[in-house]
Amino acid sequence: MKAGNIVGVKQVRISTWLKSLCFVLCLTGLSACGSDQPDAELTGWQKEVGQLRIGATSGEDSPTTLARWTAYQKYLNRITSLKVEVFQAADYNGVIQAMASGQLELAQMGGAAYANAREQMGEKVAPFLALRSAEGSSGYYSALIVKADSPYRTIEDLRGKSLGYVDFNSTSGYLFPRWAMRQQGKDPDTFFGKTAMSGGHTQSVLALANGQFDAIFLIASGGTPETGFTTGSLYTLARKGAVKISDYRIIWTAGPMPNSPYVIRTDRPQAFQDVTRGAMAALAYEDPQLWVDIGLQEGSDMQPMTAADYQAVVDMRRAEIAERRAAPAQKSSPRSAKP
Amino acid sequence: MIRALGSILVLLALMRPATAQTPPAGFRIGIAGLAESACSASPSDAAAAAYRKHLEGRLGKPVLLCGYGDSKAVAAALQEGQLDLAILDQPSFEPLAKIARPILAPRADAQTGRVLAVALSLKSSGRDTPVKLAGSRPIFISKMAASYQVPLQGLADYGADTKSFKPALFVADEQAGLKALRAGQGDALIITAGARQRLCRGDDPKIILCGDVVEAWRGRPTAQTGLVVRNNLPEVDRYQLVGIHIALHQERPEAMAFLASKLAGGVALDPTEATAMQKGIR
Repeated sequence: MKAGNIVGVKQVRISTWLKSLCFVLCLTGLSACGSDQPDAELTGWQKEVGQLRIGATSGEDSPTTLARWTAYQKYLNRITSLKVEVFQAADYNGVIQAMASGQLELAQMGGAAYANAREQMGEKVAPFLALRSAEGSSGYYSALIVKADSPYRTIEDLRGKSLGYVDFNSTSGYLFPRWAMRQQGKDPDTFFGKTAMSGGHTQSVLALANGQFDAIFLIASGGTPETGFTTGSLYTLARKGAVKISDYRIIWTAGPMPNSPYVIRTDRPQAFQDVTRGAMAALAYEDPQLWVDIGLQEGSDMQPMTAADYQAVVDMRRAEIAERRAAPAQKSSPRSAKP
Repeated sequence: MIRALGSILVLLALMRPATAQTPPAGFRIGIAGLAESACSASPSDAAAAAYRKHLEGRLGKPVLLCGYGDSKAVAAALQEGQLDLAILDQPSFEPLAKIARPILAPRADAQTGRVLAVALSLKSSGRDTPVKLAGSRPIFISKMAASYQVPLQGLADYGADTKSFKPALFVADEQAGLKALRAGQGDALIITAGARQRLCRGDDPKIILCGDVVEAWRGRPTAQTGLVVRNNLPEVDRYQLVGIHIALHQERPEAMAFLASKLAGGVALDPTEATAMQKGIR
């Protein structure tokens, strides 16, 4: 079943590569036009950095991501006096490649995407902040979601059925649940009959709604399996009226995994990194209404993170890649399902 | 003539003896209970020295630690413009509320900061302010500090007579708490703001889940100690200090341990709102 899964990944990889290329070219084009040249009046570290370019993905909770960064854009511009621009990529790899090529200073990405970036950039990228809940927890979950009117009640019911992953670089939509399944003695490459990448969390929900998958792995946050969840793509879409929560059912969860990090280029001046971290972390306390308006959980805040906090995710990704490279032919091939 | 007068003025300035009011050059941090009573770039305490060195490296300018007898003396020095950053306790900060603000406060443990919490009561009860909660039976959803002691302290800081509260009712979660409130088993459901969001926000924009309840209180407990700056410190410098200090426990644990010893505890530092050290002001 491995080969089929790789087909799904390859399809996404090609698509991702093209999107990434467009994204990087777009950034390069902006540079060439001189629209993001440093302000001549800046001095010190501000002159050295010149601008703050933020990469936003359709990532872990796409409907709120851009709104969040637009709010930060104005806020960070006021504090740093830097020109702040937000670039949105269609997928994780777009942001990773732009960051690796020095086209971005800052981005938010899932742990798995960070692990990918870390492998490419080494210590030039570092996690520096992540969300923390009001109760002090700093993790989120991967939820296996099915339609409420389906017969599936447990993960066992999905043996041989079709599954939608989010993205190869998604923590909750790919890496972590696969790791967790293996811990439970289930090989995700042979357990499901069909797998494919949807390209994003929102796309996964829509594909499930349209009957393209029997189940999807999706981010779930703002709670625990015991308390229930309040945030994540499904809940955000529900609040916008796009879907009804009652139409879906969570039948299995994996986690918690460390919250998606905000990552920064470490080759930028230290003062820039400190100011940015301080400003972003202070927002929860200084403007709690804006905090909620940009889609973040009431009472939550940000905590500093280090590379060590994501080492387990980096190790999972390495193991995932090693396994794929080691024995691709030993497993039978599933049919690939297009999202 | 003008040149001669200028020379005399320069000479007079050079001859003026340094006084205790002359702030030494550098970024000055006032701390009560340091071994040294003056501003120093070489404190004898190794942990203090580690903190000073770390901050100096990050700020890119000389940093001096200035010792004082107590927190009130530190506050006075900050008020006079002798300091750039001060470690203060809440009573010493109060008189400075118009000219200074806290920027950081200690976090008790990994799960427990100055949690934003709410007290919910039934609209029909009329208990819609902290003061009106006197004599209530509170409902909590956990005995963990973040969901119990911290919100309770916050309520008291905002004027609720928590000592008059009847024995608390503990329930499994916020859903059970709201059910108990509606059933009259308690008078105020006290939960974190995160739990309130889970409880009341709902998944459907057309359905109002908490229409029959009112927030009698929302806030964080008053910070009892904190790192304080003058209000005229440029915003960018303030956030730089926040950014450096919130990671101190990871980057220089011994420096964090030093600050904790001067802040009456704490495993890390969290940012604060400007009013964090003013009782009952959000």
